[in-house]
Amino acid sequence: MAAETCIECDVAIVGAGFAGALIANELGKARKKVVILEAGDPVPPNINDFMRRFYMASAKVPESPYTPEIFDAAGNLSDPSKMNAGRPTVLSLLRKGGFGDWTDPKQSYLIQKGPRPFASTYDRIAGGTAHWLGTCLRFVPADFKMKTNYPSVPQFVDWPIGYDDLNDWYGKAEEELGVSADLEEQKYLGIQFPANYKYPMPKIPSSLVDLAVADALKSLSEDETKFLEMERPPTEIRVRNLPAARNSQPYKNRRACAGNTNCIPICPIQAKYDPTMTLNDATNTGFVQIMDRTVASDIVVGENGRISQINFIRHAGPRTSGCVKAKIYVIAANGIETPRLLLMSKNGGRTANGVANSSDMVGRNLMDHPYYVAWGLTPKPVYPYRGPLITSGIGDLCDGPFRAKRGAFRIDIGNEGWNFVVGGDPNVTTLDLVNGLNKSKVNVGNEALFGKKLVETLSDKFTHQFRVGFLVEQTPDLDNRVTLSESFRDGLGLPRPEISYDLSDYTRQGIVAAHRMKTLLFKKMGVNDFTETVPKDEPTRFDVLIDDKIVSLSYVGAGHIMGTCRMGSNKDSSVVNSDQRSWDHDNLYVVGSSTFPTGATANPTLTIAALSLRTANKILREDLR
Amino acid sequence: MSHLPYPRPKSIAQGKKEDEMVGAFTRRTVLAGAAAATAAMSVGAVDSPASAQTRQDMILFVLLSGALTGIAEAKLAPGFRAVPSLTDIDLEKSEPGSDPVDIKQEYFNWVNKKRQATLRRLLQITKDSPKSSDRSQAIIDKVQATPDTKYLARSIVLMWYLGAWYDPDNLRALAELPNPPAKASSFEVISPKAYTQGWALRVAQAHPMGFSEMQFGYWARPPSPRTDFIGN
Repeated sequence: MAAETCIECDVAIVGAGFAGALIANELGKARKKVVILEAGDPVPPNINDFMRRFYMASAKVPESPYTPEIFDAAGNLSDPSKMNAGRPTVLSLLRKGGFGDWTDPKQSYLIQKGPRPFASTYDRIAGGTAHWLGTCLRFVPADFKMKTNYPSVPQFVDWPIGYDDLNDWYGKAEEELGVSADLEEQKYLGIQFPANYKYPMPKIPSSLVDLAVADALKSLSEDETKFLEMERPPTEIRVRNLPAARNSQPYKNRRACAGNTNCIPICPIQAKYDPTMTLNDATNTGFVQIMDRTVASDIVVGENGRISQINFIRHAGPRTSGCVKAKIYVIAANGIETPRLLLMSKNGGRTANGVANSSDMVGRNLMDHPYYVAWGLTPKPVYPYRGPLITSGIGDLCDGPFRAKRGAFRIDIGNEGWNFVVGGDPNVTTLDLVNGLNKSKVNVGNEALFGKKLVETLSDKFTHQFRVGFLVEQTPDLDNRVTLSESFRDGLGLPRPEISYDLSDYTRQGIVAAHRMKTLLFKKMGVNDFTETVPKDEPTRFDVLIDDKIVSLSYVGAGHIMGTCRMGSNKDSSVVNSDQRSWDHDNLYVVGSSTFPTGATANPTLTIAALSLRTANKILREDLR
Repeated sequence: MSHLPYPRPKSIAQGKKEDEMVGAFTRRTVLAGAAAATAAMSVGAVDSPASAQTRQDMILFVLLSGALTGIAEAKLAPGFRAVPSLTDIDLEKSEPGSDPVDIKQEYFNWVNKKRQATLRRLLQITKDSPKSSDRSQAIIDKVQATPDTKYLARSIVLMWYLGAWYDPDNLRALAELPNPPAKASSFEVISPKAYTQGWALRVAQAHPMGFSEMQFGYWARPPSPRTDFIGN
């Protein structure tokens, strides 16, 4: 592309998700000209099409409301080799050999090399992965100092910044996203707030399910909790309300949560924050332009080592190509698409290993929070399917001396019954009881019911459904990695991301501890355990010895894609510095959870937002003064 | 929050073409319907794509649905009113319902298009059921006498509960075959409106996911009694 045809601006951003939107808005407010290249479809004028797609979906998976379409006209998974901006879906994480085969490049956008599947997905659309829950936890101070605190774990590194560096930025992020929380309840494990700090809104009330768990924890004994090795009294294991970017009162022209129990995939009343709101603010500044259906394909490095332009392919109508020239470039395309773009940008061999990759760390240390899920029936009704999907959790086990030996975990308490654990309730259990089946395992006699008997049985099952999830800390491992596929391309002819992924023993031991905690919690609550062991050929399954018995455990994805462009304090072992600026290219920033050196157990979004606002400030103060 | 793989979905279940013979039952019902045509005029014309549908058909459809689902007729069809007669229900004087959502009409049309003949048999069973406190049980017992009526009755229940169409042949395969084909598990959401009108989670004193008509904070309190939701 001839240089003279390039679009010119102050800052070019790749990706209109959380990080990209927040940075664009800050820069737009400061009257800097910003162009965002967004691979997917634009922000629609309203969410009606998203809602229609969600309502009509047989499988109401996280990606179901958004484009591109998951299925083709014949009802098969859309062929990723034909998609301009492909994406993974949870439907392409199924067992080998059949529908949704996780290793089949015809069904899975990600080329998964294993040995285990990377089980998290993302969207490619303006607004980013808006199918998030809304949880807005801060990291605890120890999360930033893992090498210092737990030197026995060789994979751990320290962040180049600490909690105190982010404290104010967390506050700004909470204001922008609109977080509802109770300040006193969030002070644990060293989390402190600035004097006179207030969350933007009061907390979202806890559910009846939360209260049932809290009640059960009251009787935990020292003896029962010894396996946790927390070296603190069990009274410190408590249910805490979760901070959430979900309105508890009208805020920024949006309504209070009405408890639609649908944060994922989509809040029908937009009481939950998503980046389309910030994108609207950004474009309203008059300085921010979003180019949708525009896929960045090449980051061009100039002779002086600075980025000189980004080339893109537009697929809005007839395919065209073009370029953007800016003073500053920001890559905000998530933990898989960001390293993919950096690796694709070879500059005719001058950056044969990719842009910003002199450390060879681009694409490495891919992390998630492997999610261990368990479910059962409670002795008394807990009335799930009411309120936001999750209102409380147990966070006090996310740091402690045990972290020298095994992954920490945070516990999510589900308000959505067995919705996603049995393959789509209320449908599965209803079908069982109407048609005499037993997929849910609650219809042992294979009864087929009508009338009053059906009402009573369904009501009984649903109101007692309970599920918990454990977000387990994952070590950054060099071989958990995003590379470029040599064989498989997308619809634009660009190489698709190839993923190598496994769980370290440290991470598995975290899942083992989560499993033990589940057993204890269910015992305390009197929950009848229905958690199923996944079949032998399920790739997420692993066997461990627990109390002299072989137990099969498994994980799913948490949707938290982290670590592939880690920040650090020296250029030999990290991709960016503490400002998220590339060590190799002075006018290039890489933002989002790809820069997390370690993943902790907190949902990453609030930390992504805080780091993004901090980086926007750096750009304004240091680069564009 | 996580991503669990769902089982094989199918975006669109292939609706089986009408393959039932239109027999004596249909003819008789259509004739009976003609007599009620005047009454039907008073509540406005109804959309009847596949066959003449009368006001009486709709009343019978709501009665049938109430018996099979266990949910009060006036909840399924707000405004529905069954007027008793000496021996039974007075189908001429009863009201089929008056709510603007009118999901019953969408469901009637759907079933009528997919399985007209069997639907007619189900309506006839409803009409023939005696007036008694066990009218519902009588209907439930009779629909189970033949596989055709039994599995269509199940499809109708699932339609009301989930706003989705589970084809009766698929239900039969799932229930009777040792290794049913994967496609037997497929289903089709009937419409966005149907999804939001599903009863499965209202039976659980909640609401369809993504369609709450409740207010902020309701989840912190115990729900209203089940009878408030389903009327029974």
